[in-house]
Amino acid sequence: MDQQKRLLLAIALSFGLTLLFTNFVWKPQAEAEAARLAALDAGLVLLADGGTVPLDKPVLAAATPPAPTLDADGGGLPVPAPVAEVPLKLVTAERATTKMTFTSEGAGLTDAVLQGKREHVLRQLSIAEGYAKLFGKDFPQGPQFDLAEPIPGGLPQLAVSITGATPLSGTQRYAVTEESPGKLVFTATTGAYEVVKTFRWNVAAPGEKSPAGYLSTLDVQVKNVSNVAVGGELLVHAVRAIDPTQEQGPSMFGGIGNQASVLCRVADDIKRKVPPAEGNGFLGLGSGPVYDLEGKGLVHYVGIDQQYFLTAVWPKEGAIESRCLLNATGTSRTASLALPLVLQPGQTLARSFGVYLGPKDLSLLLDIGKSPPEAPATTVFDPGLDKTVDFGIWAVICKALIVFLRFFHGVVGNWGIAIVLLTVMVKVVLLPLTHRAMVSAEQMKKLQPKMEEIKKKFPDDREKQNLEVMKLYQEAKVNPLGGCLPLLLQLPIWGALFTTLRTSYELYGEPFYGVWSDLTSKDPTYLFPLALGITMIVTQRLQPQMSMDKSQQMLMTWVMPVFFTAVMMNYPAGLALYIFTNNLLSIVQQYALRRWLARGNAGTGAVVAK
Amino acid sequence: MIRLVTQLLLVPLRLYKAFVSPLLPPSCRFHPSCSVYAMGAIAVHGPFKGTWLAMRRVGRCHPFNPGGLDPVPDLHGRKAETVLETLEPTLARRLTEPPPPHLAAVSTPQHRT
Repeated sequence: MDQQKRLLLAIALSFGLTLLFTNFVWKPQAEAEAARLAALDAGLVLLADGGTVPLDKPVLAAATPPAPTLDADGGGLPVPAPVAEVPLKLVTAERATTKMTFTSEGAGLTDAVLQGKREHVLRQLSIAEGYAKLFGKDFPQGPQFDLAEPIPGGLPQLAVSITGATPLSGTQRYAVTEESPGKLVFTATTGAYEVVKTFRWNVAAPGEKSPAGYLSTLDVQVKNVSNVAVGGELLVHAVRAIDPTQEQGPSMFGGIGNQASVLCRVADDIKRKVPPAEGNGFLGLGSGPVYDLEGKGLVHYVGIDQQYFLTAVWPKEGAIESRCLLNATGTSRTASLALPLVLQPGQTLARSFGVYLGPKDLSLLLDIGKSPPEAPATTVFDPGLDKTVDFGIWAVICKALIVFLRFFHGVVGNWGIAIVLLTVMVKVVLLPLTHRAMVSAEQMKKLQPKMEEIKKKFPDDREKQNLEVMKLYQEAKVNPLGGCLPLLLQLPIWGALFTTLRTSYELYGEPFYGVWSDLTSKDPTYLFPLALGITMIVTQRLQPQMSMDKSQQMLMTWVMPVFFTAVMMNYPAGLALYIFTNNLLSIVQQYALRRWLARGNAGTGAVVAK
Repeated sequence: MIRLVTQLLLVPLRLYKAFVSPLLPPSCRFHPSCSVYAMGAIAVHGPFKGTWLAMRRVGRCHPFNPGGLDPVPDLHGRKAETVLETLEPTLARRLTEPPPPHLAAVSTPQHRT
């Protein structure tokens, strides 16, 4: 028996060590790997800069080495476009929510920078920076979030291509034929097609209350100008380059990660892909092939899904029988909607697509399918983007938690304090249970003399002793332990809060106090996880000493808090805040109970002790 | 088929007992503990009644219930451990184990030696 306990202790200890190792020692190697990846991309990075050179300077396509082609279907084939006839043009356009840059190469976006004050790339402070901030130094936020980060030499965001015997390249050079506030028209003529792409958006719509500020429309018109029938597929691409140094896959001890996934809704099934793990996958497996996924059926939308931001493209007339192609590599994401296309000579196909480039704010996404207030009679196709906010199995509890958190936030105006209040609320709800358990545990002390008696009665038979003690507990209606139910009741709340913290845009970038400027990311100072560990140790010490043997005692008092602290280091600060507050309240409760028992029940306690 | 479902239900419980439970502080007020009881109940009474019994047991395991000894109910007058004796000898042994020390024994100086 003793040996088994020691084995357990060893397991727990090695667990803890592995953890410390992954958290503190392994990091540099991960960074080296990221640097290596960055170096690989260096050539492309240079080209990325090319995208921002002054207008009319011939760039990209000609100078670009064969790009890491995303468009395996031939859309990316370098079609001999009418060379040097149409100069490259970049058009910048501003709307209330977004600064956009369109390129005439592919007639798409190379920038869509969100302007809201919370719409930043998460900036993770180092430990040193965290402490500097704690003592008053200010650090700028990360850059504003760009939903159209261009892929060097690749397709621009919202590119259109045609596959088949007569392809149209996604990087076809277009001419800008109309440019007015809220509208931009691109046209291109190739041997076989005349293509018109029209972007329309509401210039003034704000982003706070309605999705209109983030919505736009893309009309695509393709005319067959050749004298033969053409057939193939028309593809619309949602595209975004990914900086691999900014992105982290999820891992048990490394936190939840922030990987962007490509997704596509086919009928009621949402297909989702993240890039394969690169060498650092589970047990070093992974580094498999690049993910390619194809969906076939009634496609509602395709998109790219960051933790808190979303690109989505959908057919405006309603879900359509077609294909979607999802592609995710370490440095890019592409989600394409592929519609069947058959055109007789002279025939024209016109399609309208809805586009959302904005935050994954549930209330906004829910409104996308609703008729606009100025024309309540019109019916609008609802692609169901709200389902991209994925709460998983905890959905019901998560939504309830958000309701409570919102209420508390409305009262105090700070999401951190709202979490503290939520903790207090849960504690109060469970108070009858925990109070009863604590009283019971305290009363255990009074049974001490009777237990001594039992031991004297059966000095050699430990099993008999144990059974008798159990009976004693039952008769005295006390029990040293709190029971499984209170624990099980708390589990869903933990799980749901955890999910809420990592999925809900409401909490993203919301400060608590001082250095804790984002409760959804990890605490850069590690003070919360440390405080959590300390409160755990105190809680253990305060508990009436039960008859655990020494190794288990050690496991509970020291190893578990260390383990917990190490795990919590890389998880959202809000979760550590919740557990810390919870432990603190338990300590206060225990302390108050002791005082109360000492005052009120001192007499009876003394009698029993005799 | 039923046997397969039973075994499938037992898998997560076995994993819990082997890897999760040792890391948590002891908390069950009963003997056998809720997880062992659940395994026994499902193995003896089948997936439906067994799950129901297990859920009711967890529902009882709170500070307002005194807890204590609470064996898996008999099946047609036969004790649970007898039913499992040949099929699941390890589980049968678990059901008949004496209460664990943290539930029953008390730490006194003479006991520790």
